[in-house]
Amino acid sequence: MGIANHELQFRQWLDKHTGLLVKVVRSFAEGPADQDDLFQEVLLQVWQSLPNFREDSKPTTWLYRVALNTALAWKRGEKKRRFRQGSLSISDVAAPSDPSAEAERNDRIVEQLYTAIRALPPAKRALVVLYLDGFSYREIAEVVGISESNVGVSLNRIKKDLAATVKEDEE
Amino acid sequence: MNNLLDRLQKAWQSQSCQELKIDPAQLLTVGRLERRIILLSEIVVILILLLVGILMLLWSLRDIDQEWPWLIYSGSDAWVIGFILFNQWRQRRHVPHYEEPLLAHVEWSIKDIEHRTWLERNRLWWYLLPIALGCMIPPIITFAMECRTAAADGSTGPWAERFALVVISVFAFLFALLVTEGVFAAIFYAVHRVLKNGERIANEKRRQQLQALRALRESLLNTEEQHT
Repeated sequence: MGIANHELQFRQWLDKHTGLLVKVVRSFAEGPADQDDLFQEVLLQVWQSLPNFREDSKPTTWLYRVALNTALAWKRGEKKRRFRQGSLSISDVAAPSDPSAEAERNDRIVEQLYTAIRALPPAKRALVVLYLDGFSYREIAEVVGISESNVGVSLNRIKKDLAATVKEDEE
Repeated sequence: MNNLLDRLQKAWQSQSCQELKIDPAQLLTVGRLERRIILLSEIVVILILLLVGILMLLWSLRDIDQEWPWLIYSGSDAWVIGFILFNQWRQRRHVPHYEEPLLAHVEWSIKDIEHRTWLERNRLWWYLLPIALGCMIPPIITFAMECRTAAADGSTGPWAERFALVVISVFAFLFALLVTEGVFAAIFYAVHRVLKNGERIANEKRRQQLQALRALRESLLNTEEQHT
């Protein structure tokens, strides 16, 4: 992959899939400083790993792998890239403004979900994030590297906990 | 429960359309700069070692009969450069693939940390000892040769003069040896202490990383065991 292609593809993917990266970041890091740090780390890792993309998987699957691997290796509060702070922040990501009641309700639910996900052990967080984004058990198994049936067993348990947490919060 | 989960999925997926308001060019610049700094630091270390090694080689070749002991330094330098290059080549072959499945990446990270710990633990053999021996052995041989020459020069004179020359040569040898080796030993001890402190901090960090990674691997694998 040439340098120009590399940069072009990176920008195109960011235009399309920034939301995916933000979800991973917010599921693994709490608070603006940690989220900025992890967001920068994820973007940098995507940029550095892009030449290895072999097109045998969907871009979203590939991006999830890179983002989740980075998030799992990231240590809270480590701030190893301090000098990059201020250069790019998660607050630079904008969602299209939608003032409808439905959108507001969705935002509230998603905030609850982030809190519930962050309370889970890291491996389980990865499973939930993929499940919520509509990945099939087979696709989740491919991303995580465990068998499809195991994904099912783990998710069944997590789904119950998640539903209970969000339900309680709503009540 | 299924209805609730569907609603959660719908709400989650409604957040997918987000875009970056600013150009990531600044981040890319920093990314490229980081790569260059790492590459540059490796090149600088290798160049310094290469330069000193070549200078020592030229010094030895200038008067090979007298200065051949300094070839030992060039040899030890070549060993260290060779090891750094080999390690760089190995690291480039075993780069982390972040696009691999999570479990495979966790396994890779554990092996990588174990390898780095092993490398640090054996630093004495790869870096410190070869350089230390390369610096300390040539002066010993050179002084010994000087003493032997001085003693041999006086072998034709009266016995008292010959005896005095041998004694002076031996003392000169021991004095020079003590001073030179003492200076080298002090430098290497100071370097060792500094590295040891850094190593202790790095080891603690690595221990925590390993612990977290092993727990992660366990949690991914335990699901499998419980199910089977």
